[in-house]
Amino acid sequence: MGNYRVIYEDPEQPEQPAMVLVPSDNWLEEAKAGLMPPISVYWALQDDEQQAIAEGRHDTFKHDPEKHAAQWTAPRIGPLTEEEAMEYLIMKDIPRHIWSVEYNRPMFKIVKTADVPSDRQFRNAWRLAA
Amino acid sequence: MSTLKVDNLQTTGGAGIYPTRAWVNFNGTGTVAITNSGNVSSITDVTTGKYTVNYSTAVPYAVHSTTMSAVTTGFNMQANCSPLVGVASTTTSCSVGTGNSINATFVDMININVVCVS
Repeated sequence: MGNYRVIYEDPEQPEQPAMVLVPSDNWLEEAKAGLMPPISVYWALQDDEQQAIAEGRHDTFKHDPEKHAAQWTAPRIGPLTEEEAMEYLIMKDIPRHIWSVEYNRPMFKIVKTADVPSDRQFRNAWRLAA
Repeated sequence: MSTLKVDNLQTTGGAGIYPTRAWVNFNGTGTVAITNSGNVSSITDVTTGKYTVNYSTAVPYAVHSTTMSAVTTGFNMQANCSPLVGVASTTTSCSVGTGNSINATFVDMININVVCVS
């Protein structure tokens, strides 16, 4: 089990409890082995899909084959530490408006796995402190 | 170990074969943890009985099929699990939920399996 989790809130959904991002051990091993493409490869795919959603054609959306293949063909970025892998994962799997915009309090935090409360009611009441 | 790389899979008769693009098994109770997975980079524990599965590599089509199963330890419960209504899947993730059909509430469950085919 990975040593870290990411707690984050979505400012666009203020009533939503804090969410917990749980990394896959298999993915972490691949990241540590240097198998990840540049994060820009994923952003390009996300941008294309967001544009399709905005234009109302998401139901028929299919990725451009060349951009899709870049996930495997782009040069790898080299081995990451677990901490670097968590930062990469934030930029890959957490919506961009949560980590790329500065708010008046933190919207995400990398925490030790052991520090995440196992009690659901307590976890649902969480808010990230300023 | 060798790797097979093809754009399409077919039987000798020409029928299409559609492999699993991603799968994950995780425990949705307590501190949520992934037991094992394939092509899944992470899951998001959204709130009680609601999770998002994030794929390691994006699937080609926005509309794809997601199926799941889950086990509950609760009594007086009719377990239900399915992709979340009203939350569209994307090429990079799908949202799923587990709950009790008797009183229509979301419930955390153990041994949750999600499979994506595209």
